[in-house]
Amino acid sequence: MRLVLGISAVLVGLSGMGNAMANEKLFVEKAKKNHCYECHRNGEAFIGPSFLQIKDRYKGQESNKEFVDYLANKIINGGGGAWGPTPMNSNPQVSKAEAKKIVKLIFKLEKQ
Amino acid sequence: MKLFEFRNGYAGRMSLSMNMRTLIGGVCASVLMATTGGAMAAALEGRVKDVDGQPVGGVIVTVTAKGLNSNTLTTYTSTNGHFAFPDIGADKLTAKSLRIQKIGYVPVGTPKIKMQGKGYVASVDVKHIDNVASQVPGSAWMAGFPDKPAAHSIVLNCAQCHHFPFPKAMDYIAKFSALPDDQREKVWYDVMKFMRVKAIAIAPGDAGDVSKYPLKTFSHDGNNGFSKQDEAMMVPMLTKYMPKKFDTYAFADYQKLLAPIGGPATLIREYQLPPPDQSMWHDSAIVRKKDGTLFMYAADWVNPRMARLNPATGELRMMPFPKGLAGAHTLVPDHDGKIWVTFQVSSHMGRFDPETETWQTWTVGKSGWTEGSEGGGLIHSIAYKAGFEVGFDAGGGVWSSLGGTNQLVRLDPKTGKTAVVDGPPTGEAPEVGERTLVSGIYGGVMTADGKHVWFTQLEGSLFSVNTETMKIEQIVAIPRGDGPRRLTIDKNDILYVPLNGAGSLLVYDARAKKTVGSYPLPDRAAAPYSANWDAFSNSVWMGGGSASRMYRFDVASKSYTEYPLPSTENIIIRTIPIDQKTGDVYFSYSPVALLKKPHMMVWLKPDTAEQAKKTAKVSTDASGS
Repeated sequence: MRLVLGISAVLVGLSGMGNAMANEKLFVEKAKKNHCYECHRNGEAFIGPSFLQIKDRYKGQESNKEFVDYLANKIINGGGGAWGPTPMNSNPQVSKAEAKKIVKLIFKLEKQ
Repeated sequence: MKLFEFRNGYAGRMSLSMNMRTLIGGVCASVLMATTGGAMAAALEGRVKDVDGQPVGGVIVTVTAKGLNSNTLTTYTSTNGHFAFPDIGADKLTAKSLRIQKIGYVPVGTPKIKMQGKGYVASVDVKHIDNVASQVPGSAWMAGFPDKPAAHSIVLNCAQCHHFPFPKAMDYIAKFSALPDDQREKVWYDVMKFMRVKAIAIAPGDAGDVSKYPLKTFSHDGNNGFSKQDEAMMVPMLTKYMPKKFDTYAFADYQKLLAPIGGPATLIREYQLPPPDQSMWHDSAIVRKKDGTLFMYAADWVNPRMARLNPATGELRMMPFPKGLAGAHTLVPDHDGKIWVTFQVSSHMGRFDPETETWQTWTVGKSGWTEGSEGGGLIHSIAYKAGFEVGFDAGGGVWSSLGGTNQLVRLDPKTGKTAVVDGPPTGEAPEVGERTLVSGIYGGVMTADGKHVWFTQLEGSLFSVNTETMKIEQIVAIPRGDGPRRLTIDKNDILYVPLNGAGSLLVYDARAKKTVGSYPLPDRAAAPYSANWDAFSNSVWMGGGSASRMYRFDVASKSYTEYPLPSTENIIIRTIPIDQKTGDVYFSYSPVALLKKPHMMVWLKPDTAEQAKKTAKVSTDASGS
């Protein structure tokens, strides 16, 4: 029983890792397409905060629909003040659905 | 009144079409354009007046129609509001549409058109508006900056890729305008950071994937067109003088930025270039073939092709470059009618024979995009003689700039051998060094005797090299930020150097070795990129891309005339070949690839005595009813 559980745990762990990689790959694809890397990096602060910094600050809020909405709107409309005086550019080419997906993927990013 | 209603670049200018949806008034025209089948080239003409019945001069009138040899045909109204296209063949055109533009005016109601004899006559009403914020070009918003090199530096560095400020930039600026000075300054430094990233993001293909570069790539001055020294000049100026709102601009203030407009015999033809959207039509050239036909050529920096246009017929042909040649930058014809091309990305020089349509190519300089302080060669501009033809020195050598390494290169086309001359130092920081893009040697000319070449440095000086000794001779210091780019020369070796940042024309006598004068444009932020001397009228033409117009400097009277263009957004105007027999000028719209449009070749026939005679013959009293 313990061996089976042990193996299951390892398998779950491995598929979790596989999921994390798939999520990151998808995120990177979307971030590149939408020019996010012109101001942000996954792990390093740049012109804007890193995506991991954003995830850390808002830890626990990812299941809050209204909050995901708020961050998605930030991506589309830009904004300012949350991380310093420099406003974020607006990105009107990003659809609401795509922006929400991107927000959810930020919360799935893992530290390297 | 909603002031932002018509903001779309500066398409606050209204459009009218004859069969039609007006943006104001909303009344459809129900005028039929019947044809007479007349044998003569029927004229299209008319008059523009305001709602008080006063004629309005200097209105840009543009016709589009099926049957025209170009996509658009444009002229200006005279002081009595009259416009005419005397030879347009109006009876043979279909789907005719008329667009009216003048900053400070919007159209009112329906134009009245009637047939008169074998031609057509239109009457157009406009209304004066005092707030022209939604209509003025980006350059107008720079009018409050001081006349200092530190402020010029902003135009120099920003307007090389886009108008500044343009609508998206204005929206962004408004976001942080309310912050206190110290925070606003911090934001401007972050904008500079962002622009360094953009400078790399525009590179073609994988080279433009910014996510794969370590962050220090972007802060290294060798990878950018401006340095930290330049940022320290620009940011305090931007913090202090950039407007905080962009919703009000007084008509009277805008008038101060204008020169007298070209006359009513001016004709401008635009020819649409084909997709893809991600193109950058860089330089242009004109060449007469042996049979006398004049062709215009333009080179696409992004996609490996050259466009060949017959401006008289509108026939357009795409001509691919030989494999391996990339980044076509400069086109200059030689006295044999061959066209020389620099390939900036692959580091080649090419010579094209329009009669046989064959190429000869040479490898010149180090290839590739700039890498830190190493710098790719980035072969840039070929030195040309008065009349815009390739200069050959006594040994038959051709001279060009290497924009990435602050050097000149001499190519012997017979042997393919090259020799390099270092440009003067521009005072870059030691960790950056002098062999970089920031020092940027730009355009060049050759004196009539072939013994000297004169080149400019974007952030440095105007200097000459002796083509026999290969040594620097003269160095004329130019304040950092004033930004000389592509200069021209007349038959007496007078240099005309447009200062892209300062918005003025520096005139230097290369034989007497002294400055003749400096002549500021009325719009100091127009960002003149290049100049060409016209023997026909003894004038110097410049493109004022950021102000969306051409300027002609009359050498004798030292005065400017301006030629506002029918297309306005995003345009940058690079080289301006001139038909020295007629004084007609040719150029292409050259927005960077990311901005996607407009992509057009242009033939501008300025008013000449001959044209004026033709226009006066056509009936001048079109009153409509």
